[in-house]
Amino acid sequence: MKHYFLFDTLIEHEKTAPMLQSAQKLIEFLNIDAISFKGAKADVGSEYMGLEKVKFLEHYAYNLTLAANEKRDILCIEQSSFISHAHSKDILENDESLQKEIAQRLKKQNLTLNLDVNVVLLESLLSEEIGVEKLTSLLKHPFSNFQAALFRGTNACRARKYTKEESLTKVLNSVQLKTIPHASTYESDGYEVLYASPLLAKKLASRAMLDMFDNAADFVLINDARSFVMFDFYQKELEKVAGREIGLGVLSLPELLLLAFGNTDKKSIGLHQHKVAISLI
Amino acid sequence: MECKLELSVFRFNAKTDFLPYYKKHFITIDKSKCINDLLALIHAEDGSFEYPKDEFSALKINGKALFSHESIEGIVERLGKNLTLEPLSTKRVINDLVINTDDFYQKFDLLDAYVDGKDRVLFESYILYHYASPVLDFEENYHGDALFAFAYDMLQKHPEQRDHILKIVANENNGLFLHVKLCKKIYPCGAEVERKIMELKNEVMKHSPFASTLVEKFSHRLDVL
Repeated sequence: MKHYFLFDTLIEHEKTAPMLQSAQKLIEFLNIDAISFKGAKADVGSEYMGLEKVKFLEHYAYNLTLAANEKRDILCIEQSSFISHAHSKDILENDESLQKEIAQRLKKQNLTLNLDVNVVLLESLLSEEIGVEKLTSLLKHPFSNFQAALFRGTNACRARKYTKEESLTKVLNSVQLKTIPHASTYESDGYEVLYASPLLAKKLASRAMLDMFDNAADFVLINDARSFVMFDFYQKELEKVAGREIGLGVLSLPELLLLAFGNTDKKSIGLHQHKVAISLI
Repeated sequence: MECKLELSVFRFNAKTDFLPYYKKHFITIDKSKCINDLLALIHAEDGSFEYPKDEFSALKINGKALFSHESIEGIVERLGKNLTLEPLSTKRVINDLVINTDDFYQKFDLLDAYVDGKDRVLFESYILYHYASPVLDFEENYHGDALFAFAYDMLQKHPEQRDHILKIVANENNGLFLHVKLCKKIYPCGAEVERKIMELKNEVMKHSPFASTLVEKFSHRLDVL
């Protein structure tokens, strides 16, 4: 088993706390060597790269360097932090002048740029390191009676560059989850424009949610903290914007797996903190 | 090598129809041909079918915006043999796949004073990006991603016009900061335009040559980094 730092300073940490709590629980349950990444800078989302690319790269280069120096890979439990770290590493490895500039900036913080670190997404670790066989052996409550709407969002394209899309499918198959086809899988969850136009953001998010609802989804499965913020935390506001009730629960992968493995205590896996109650149990 | 395609083709005549419908066609075509050839075959089967035929003619296939000169082989490889053909914008249909593009060309007028007349062709080449954006469904006056990609190119070509160009694209109500990523909506790939739009945002933030509460708000957000 490899050694990891669990990247635990997610974007909008107050709104995404349930995602982190369930991930910590799952990591403990599966005995994954992933300790808290103390001292790491919080995820701000790849939207920031559009504001000031060099500052953005410096921010994530700091984390990459810290982890590399400790000889631990970075384990990201969701797509936003994963893309920000993996994309920064990719850019710096392929652009010598940027790499020099960031190295100089880090020097002022007494750090020597070190990119000798892997950034790993939880679903890849589950599928490749833990393995489908082991996951299947832990299954207590198969999800075969439910159908989920899998939402990947507009960032999936970038994530695909650094991870295999089929990893998630393999993990979902191990708990016998059925996913429904719907047109919003790769649509925007609105988060990328939330601060420029909250109304537009909520219109985009509500359209996606209503599409998944109308396709008879029992719940929405997300793999990005930004989607969780838009679909769970803001769901009441989405209903106002859409002029329709939605009432569709939102689950992250760790939450889904813990439920499938028989951990139904809502408090211990963070479900009690969801804005939209999860009624699957 | 030939392949048999199952097509659902959008049909609507704004002058005579009340509602659009999709007509089925089963067409066998050589994979080395392009979408234009496929559209011609549909027209041969049904003479009333209309489609765009100009240099930048484009459409949507299975929800992805693409030019009609794309090859059948690539499309089948990525999207399969069961294809739904629609106009770039179902809201702006004149007849079947032919749309009214006045709104797109009006966006060029925003930068017309700061670029050459010859640059218009480059702007036209970005038409896919204008109609692929979901923002247009909610913000009718959205400047559009075609304008932003074009504006980035114009900054390289006419750097002396930088302040004028940036001021227009950074408009708070319908400008650059309302952009949402289009990667999955463009065939074959929209990554290069995404890069241009990201660089353009960086330019706005770097030079911010005008008073804008939105740019100011984003500058404050940068302080967390």
